Amino acid sequence: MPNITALLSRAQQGDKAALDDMLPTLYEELHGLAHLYLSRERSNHTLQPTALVNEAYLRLIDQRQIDWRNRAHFLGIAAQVMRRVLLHHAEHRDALKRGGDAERVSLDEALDCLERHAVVDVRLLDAAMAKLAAEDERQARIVELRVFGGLTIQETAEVLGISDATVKREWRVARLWLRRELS
Amino acid sequence: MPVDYARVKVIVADALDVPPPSRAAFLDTRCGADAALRREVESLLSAGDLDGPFLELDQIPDRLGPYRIVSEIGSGGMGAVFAAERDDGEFEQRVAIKIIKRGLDTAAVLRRFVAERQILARLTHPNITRLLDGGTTPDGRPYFAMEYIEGEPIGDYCRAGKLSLDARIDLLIAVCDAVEYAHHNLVLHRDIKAGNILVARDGSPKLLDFGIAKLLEDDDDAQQTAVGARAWTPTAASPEQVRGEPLSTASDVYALGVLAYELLTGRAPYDVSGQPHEHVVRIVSAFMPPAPSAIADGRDSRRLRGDLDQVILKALEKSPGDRYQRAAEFAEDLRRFRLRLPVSARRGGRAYRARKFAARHKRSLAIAAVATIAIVGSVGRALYEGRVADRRFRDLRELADTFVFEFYDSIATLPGSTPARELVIRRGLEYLDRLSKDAGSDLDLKRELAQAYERIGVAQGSFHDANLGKTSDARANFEKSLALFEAVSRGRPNDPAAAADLGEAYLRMAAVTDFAGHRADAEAFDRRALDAIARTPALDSKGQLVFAMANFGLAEILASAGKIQDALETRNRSISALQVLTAKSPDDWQALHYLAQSYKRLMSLYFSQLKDNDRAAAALALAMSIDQRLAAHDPSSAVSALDLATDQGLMATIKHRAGEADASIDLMRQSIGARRAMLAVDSRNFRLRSLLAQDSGKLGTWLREQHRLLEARDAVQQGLELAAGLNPDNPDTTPILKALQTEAAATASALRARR
Repeated sequence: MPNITALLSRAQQGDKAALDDMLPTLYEELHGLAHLYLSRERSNHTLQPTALVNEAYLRLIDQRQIDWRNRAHFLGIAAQVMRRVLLHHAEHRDALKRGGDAERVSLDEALDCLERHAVVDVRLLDAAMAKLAAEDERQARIVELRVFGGLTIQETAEVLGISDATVKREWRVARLWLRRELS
Repeated sequence: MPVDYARVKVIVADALDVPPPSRAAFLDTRCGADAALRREVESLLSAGDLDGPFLELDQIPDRLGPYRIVSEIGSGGMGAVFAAERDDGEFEQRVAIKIIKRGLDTAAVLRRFVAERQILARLTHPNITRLLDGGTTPDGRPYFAMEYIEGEPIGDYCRAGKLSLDARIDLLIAVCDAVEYAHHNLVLHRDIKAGNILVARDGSPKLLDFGIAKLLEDDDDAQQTAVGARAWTPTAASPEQVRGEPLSTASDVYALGVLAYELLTGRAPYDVSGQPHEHVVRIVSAFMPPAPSAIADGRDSRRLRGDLDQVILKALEKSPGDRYQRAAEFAEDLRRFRLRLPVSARRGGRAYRARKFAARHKRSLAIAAVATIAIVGSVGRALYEGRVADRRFRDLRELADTFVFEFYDSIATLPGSTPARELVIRRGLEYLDRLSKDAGSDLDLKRELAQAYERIGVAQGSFHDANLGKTSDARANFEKSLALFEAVSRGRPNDPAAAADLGEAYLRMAAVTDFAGHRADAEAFDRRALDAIARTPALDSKGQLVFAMANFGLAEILASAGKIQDALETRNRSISALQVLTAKSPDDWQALHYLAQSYKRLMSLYFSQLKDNDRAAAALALAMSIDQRLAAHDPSSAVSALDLATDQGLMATIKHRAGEADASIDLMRQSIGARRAMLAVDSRNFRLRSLLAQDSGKLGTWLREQHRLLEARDAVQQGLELAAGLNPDNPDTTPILKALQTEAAATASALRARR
């Protein structure tokens, strides 16, 4: 497994290839974590994708070597991956159901959780976000970070290098836009 | 025509802040007659309810257990805090509820809460807010309910109230007493900071979150560092805490010291926010902050100077054993200060105090020097233009001294000081040239002038120190210096000091000529240095250093001439002399520095000539242990930090040849990263830039060998960018550029071949 901490440092220094190197590991890790989560029988937990992203961060990153900006950076990337994982799962949900394996169950849970809490169908949301991105790329990115990465307003602001106030404004309007789009 | 979304979203965002009844009027103004714009804005505003759950994952529940959430008070590193009311009919109580943010292991936090709650509930002290309850939110985040305090964060309170120094000290004493009480009950706070202390309406401080940090830290399982690292605040954490070592009451004392520093000076002792963790560790472990009195404003500064400086810095000592062991001892000294009694912090030994003094005043001296240059400069000109000739001479001499020695020295090792240094040099030279004309046969004055020219030469272009990259100017000043030292030595043939001075002047010439590539000249100057000190019957310690350094240089020249055995012998002669010197005076930092350099040269002999990786690594390890001592001795010196980073690069090179490709690449990256950070704050340090350019090229080669071509290309590109900033007059620049271009071509062709 590549050293994620090192890749992240490189990514932060502007090494674009490092980002791509990270994606497969993250993808795998998030899948695996969803599985692990369920097997641990945490009865008081609902399985949230955002919790998975955080857990992935804790597992993959040597926190002694990483600063807070890096953490936000990582979560930003992980949000992207989580969006892909869940969308992929949503699109193949029916085909996968026949398999009945643990991974399917765990991702089902994560997907259900997101859809229940966020009151949205992931496939529709993804398509709407793509449309929003055509109008306003930054707003779409904010939605991705907040919904799929579970980033706070502050963390989102840090990833995008803009102020908290701007994130708050954009986030409110983006929610309205998506709401209208999905109604 | 479609409406521009960029316009729409601004109006929508603004409209959301307008109460619904006034919105129509607001839209009249903002949309004017543009009906399409208005329609689009209104359609979005009516799309739904923003308070609803749509896309909002971290909904704050209306109730948590017996508490009804009233409003959000604030948010911080751990999570958000809410005001809440207990209204389950039993009794009414206002509480503060802290909901911990996602990413922590909820089950473990709650397990520890159950284990600790008895202890935490027992803490009843007027200056400690009580922990009342804890639980989990419906979506699985831990929360804690605490006594609700109506008050103001202590930092704001001190600023807004324009509190007197005494009043602020009294607040600190109360905080210390509360911490002592908790320590007495075997509870460490672990995260004492200004943001965790409120001042209630009656003016008494209240500590929040006692023991919470521990609940959020993982216990002894494998993930300890992962979660533990996030439970503290970088600016207030003690060295042992940032290193992840066990904490004690002295760790809380340290945090109290940080708090005292902030409240009494208005500034944090360290600004490490946003720094990578390894830098936080290095800074907090090594750097002593400037004395509080150097930071505080005028009146406070005078009161702080002396006792209070000592008291606060004692709380901030690096080693827990050097601090106050308990909060009560810290409070005791603060009380003593209030009563004008001598403080215990002052009772250290004389050597201890002297060391502390130098360490603490370094930075403030430097700041004072930069600020004074402008003033003294204009005074100097006024004097020069004045008509009182004898006074002018005396004053000029004093000024030249001041400029060249005091100011330059005090700022020389600070990163980022190059422009200030240039100014000092220019002004200093003007004075010196005037003085030289009038020197006559005054040997003392000649000696002073010689030293001053030498100093200026060093600043302009000595290879070994931070310099301004002007080697030919430097050489001219070294020659002036040498001529003056020769005159002094001729006048005082039996004086060991004069001989050592002259020897040193020859060494300077040797270094400059060597740097310019004139090996034969350099060798001759080294031998003349040895002759100069051989003239006197006895050598003083400076003479011994000249002996060591002349051999140092000769060894270098012999090695490059391929006389490896001679080089090894000469090198060892030099090392022996330096070992004697450093054994006799372990605080001779300069000799230690040269000893470290000698080991590095020895390393290079073993590495380059004898191809002995093991011996090379051993010699470098000896050098690195000295460099670490040097860095610890003077943590604010950019030179030591740079040496350590450079060592890393050398070790990378050895490892590379020993076949450890990955390790060497990682190490070189680290080394380059650390040095680039230093270059960023001192962008005109040409020596650093030149070495960095070379090492970036080297890294490129290594990456290319591993077929990591894209990374290789980036590394070489970085090298080329660095090299573009080099002084083209410097004779070393051309080969560096050439090597980088060759490497760039090699990478490019490998990339083409891959496609």
